[in-house]
Amino acid sequence: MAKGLDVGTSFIVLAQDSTENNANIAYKDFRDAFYVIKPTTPVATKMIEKGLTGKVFVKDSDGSFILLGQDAIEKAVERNDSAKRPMYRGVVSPKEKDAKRVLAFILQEVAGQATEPDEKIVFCIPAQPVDKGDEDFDVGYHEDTVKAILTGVGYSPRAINEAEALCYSELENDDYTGIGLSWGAGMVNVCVMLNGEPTVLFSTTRSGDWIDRMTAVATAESDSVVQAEKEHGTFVIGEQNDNPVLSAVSAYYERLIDYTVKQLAAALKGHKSLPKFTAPLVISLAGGTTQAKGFVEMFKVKLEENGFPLAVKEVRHANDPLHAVVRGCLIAAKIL
Amino acid sequence: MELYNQYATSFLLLLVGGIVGYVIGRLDVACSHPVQPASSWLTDGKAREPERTAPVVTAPANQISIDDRTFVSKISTASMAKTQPVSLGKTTETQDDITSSISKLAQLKGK
Repeated sequence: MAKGLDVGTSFIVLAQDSTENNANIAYKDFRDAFYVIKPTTPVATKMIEKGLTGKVFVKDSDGSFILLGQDAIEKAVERNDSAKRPMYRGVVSPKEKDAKRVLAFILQEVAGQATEPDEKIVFCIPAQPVDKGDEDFDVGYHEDTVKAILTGVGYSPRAINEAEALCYSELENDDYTGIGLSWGAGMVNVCVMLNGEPTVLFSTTRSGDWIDRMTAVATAESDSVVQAEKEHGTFVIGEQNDNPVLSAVSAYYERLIDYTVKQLAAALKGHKSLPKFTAPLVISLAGGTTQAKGFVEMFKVKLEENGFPLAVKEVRHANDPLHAVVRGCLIAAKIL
Repeated sequence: MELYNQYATSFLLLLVGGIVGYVIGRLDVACSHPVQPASSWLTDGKAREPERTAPVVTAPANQISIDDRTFVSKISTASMAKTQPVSLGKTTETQDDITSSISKLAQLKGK
């Protein structure tokens, strides 16, 4: 049995067949976050452990408690603090020791032990960003780290680009020709595909987290509080909101879409590897950041405003924006 | 005739003296300027190539490079212990047949 794995900045998602004939897919989602609580006394240790009953946590050898997933975010908000992420801008940082351990624990738990020797698993990796020369951004190290973790639990892992996976999932009816944009928490990944072959791949380093961070600065709230408001509140991109946090979120969403479309247009204008498309293209959008109301409409407006260099047939929101990438990874795992 | 001999001897002496003077003059120049000038009438305006004891061989460019990828050290999660049996992740199941996607993509990729 083959599996797909989306190793994202905000979510880790596993996809696998739940039946023998590829008719049903089972998705397992886990929030990619952790929060460390270090008790100062033995009494505090007992009190904290009792308070964490029913929550997802592990006890570390130094006596601290590491909350994982959504429980980590909720606990951080409760303490007016921010939860940590094992990944930053799409990759694991070589400088963060705890992050690598936590990511390994989460991946091993979500993917589980391979069910057969050298079971195939395809996971996604980001492309090199066009807007940041960051030394910490090391896709090769990230790929090697995830491969080492998955090999450790018996898999034969392969990596593919995140936006390429999105195209595999969403462009079947377009002969696998078009553009895929995966809007994750840390970055936006772009793939221009021609008949199933990726021709242009790149990423930008501003996405959902950038909105959270900028809103947090503008409203003097923590990133976790902003994230919670953004995910549970009601707002429409481009429209005013009475809630100051959501009003700022809406404004930053518009700026993010404008920035990304500008980067996309600039990257594709005169690109040497860009094929000569004979028909207008479909642009597929997916990822958690695209779930906000008015996202697709604003994207269309910004395409027009910024003089996008290719003819566009349709801007299409993925059927299941949170699972489109991992679905593409599963399809790839069945072929590779 | 005697007058002629005197003139000839004087001329010869003058000639020899001139030649000796010129040679001494050149030796002096050579001693005071040990470095060969870039151009002179003796070298026909051509600079001399520096002498080498061995021919210089330049190594041809090659494609050999060092593997400078960041080393992934052993990642141990042994110190992290679950104190209660909790499962990580929420599982949802959807009816979604990906058979046609697989076959179409496999065909495009020649698999």
